[in-house]
Amino acid sequence: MNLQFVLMQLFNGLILGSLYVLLALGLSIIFGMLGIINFAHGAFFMLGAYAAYTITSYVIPNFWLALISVPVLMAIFGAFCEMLLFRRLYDLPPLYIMLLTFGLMLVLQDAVRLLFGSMGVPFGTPKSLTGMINLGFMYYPSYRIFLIAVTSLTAAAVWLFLTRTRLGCIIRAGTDNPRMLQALGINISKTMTLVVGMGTGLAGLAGVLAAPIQNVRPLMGMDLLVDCFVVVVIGGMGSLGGSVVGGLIVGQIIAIGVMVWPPMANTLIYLFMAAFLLIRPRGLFGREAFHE
Amino acid sequence: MLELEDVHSHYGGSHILKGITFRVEKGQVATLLGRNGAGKTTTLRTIMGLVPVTKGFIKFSGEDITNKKPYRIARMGVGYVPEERAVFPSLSVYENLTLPMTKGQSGLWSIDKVYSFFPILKTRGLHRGSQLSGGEQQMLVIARILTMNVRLIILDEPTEGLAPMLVREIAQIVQELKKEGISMLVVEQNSRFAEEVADHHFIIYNGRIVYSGSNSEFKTDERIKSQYLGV
Ligand SMILES: Nc1ncnc2c1ncn2[C@@H]1O[C@H](COP(=O)(O)OP(=O)(O)OP(=O)(O)O)[C@@H](O)[C@H]1O
Ligand SMILES: [Mg+2]
Repeated sequence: MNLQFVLMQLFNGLILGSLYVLLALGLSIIFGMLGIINFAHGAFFMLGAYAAYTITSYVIPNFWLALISVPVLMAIFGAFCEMLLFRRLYDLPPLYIMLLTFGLMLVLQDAVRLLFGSMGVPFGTPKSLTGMINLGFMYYPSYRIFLIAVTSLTAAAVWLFLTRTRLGCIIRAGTDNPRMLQALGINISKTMTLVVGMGTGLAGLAGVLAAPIQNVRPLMGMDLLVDCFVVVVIGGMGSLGGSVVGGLIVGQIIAIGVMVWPPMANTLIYLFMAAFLLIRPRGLFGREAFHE
Repeated sequence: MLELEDVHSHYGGSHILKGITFRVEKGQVATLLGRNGAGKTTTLRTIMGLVPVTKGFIKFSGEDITNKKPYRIARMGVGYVPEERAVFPSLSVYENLTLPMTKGQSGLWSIDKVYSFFPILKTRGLHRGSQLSGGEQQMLVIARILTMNVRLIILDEPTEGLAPMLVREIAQIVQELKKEGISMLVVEQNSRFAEEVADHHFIIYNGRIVYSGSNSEFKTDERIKSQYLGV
């Protein structure tokens, strides 16, 4: 095992970690605000990839257009899901919305399977980003560098939005205690729509970015979603900082796992999670209050 | 100011409030007393629109607020401080305070005025909610609703778990806010505190109001205290 290979793997871990971060941020704010685990999140990711495929193959063959439009379209789609579906169930125990999101996941996966087949569709690297970049110590595919750059910028923008704006402040307060917000005169139903829209948009962005490097197939979101649960648990349920750090950690664990013993790479994250929870049951940045 | 008329409410299948009738006059501090499980918290949550009214009505400064959305009731000027205090732990003290402020609202309660009432919060402005002590949290949640320009404050057991010195401080704050013209409905277990701050008392027992009396009447009524409060 040479140094080149190790560095390469660590970078691949970073790529995977970036995708986790985008997904886990969305999962976290939705969990905080609605109090539910959104099982459809992986399907939103997959839908983002297929939307990009549809745009680049049938509308205008331009990856950049897809990169900009898909997150927006997905955010609108998510907002509609919240207004037309989720909203009807807020008065019932959270289990009902979770079942709904589970059903939504199955419906979306099957719809895509019917339309595009279960084998998956081809998705090439955008032309201007083929080739390698010389990082000084190694060559690395340009597209992957680009992916890291876009996710870092997005994560930073989300972070600034959440910490520097009034709306972000309301969302963070909502992750702490959504009911109390209403008693302070804040109409949380608009915030709920925004949060689901934003989370879905981030999942869509992750989907577009992943399309050139992963197999675009109906079930592509499933594995990633399960990994994201691990990310969120390690980071601490409902903690936004935890989603970022947790995502990067889990990405690296898988990358290291692949180097050491590939068949075990995915199992390793569960072992890590189990060990971690024994030491720190509430995750990295989680608060005890979430374990009522 | 606040008027409840034969208000009923349920948690799932169980009937909790069984016809609550009382009124809090403008500028008055009233307490709602009663044993554990009598329905005090439920009454406050019902006023705030967090528990649906199944029968009867609630009026706030002449307007019907029965089953209005909580945020609408809050915007009319009702500030609610729940039992669990509900500071937002991941927000800074300053963010907690400014959260209810809406743009364009010419506040009677600017942040500076709030700080002058609660100097301790100013020194803690950049700390996170989770870093405050119990007493500071209680101050923060009271201060926080002031920035909504409240006309009525409903407090659920504000002195619970606080050291005697802090209880005195809260009593002082209640009296100063009263001087500012704010009406208050306070749920209490501590009847000494209640007698110190209130003009009027109501006792709730098993979902009904069983006693209503002015502070001077209540103070000397040992029979009612031992019957319903176990003092
Ligand atoms: N979420 C709930 N679901 C079902 N029943 C509830 C719920 N909350 C309270 N109750 C019941 O309603 C009744 C009144 O409760 P409430 O909390 O209003 O009492 P309280 O007077 O505030 O008591 P305490 O002094 O303990 O705070 C109790 O019998 C309680 O068990
Ligand atoms: Mg109570």
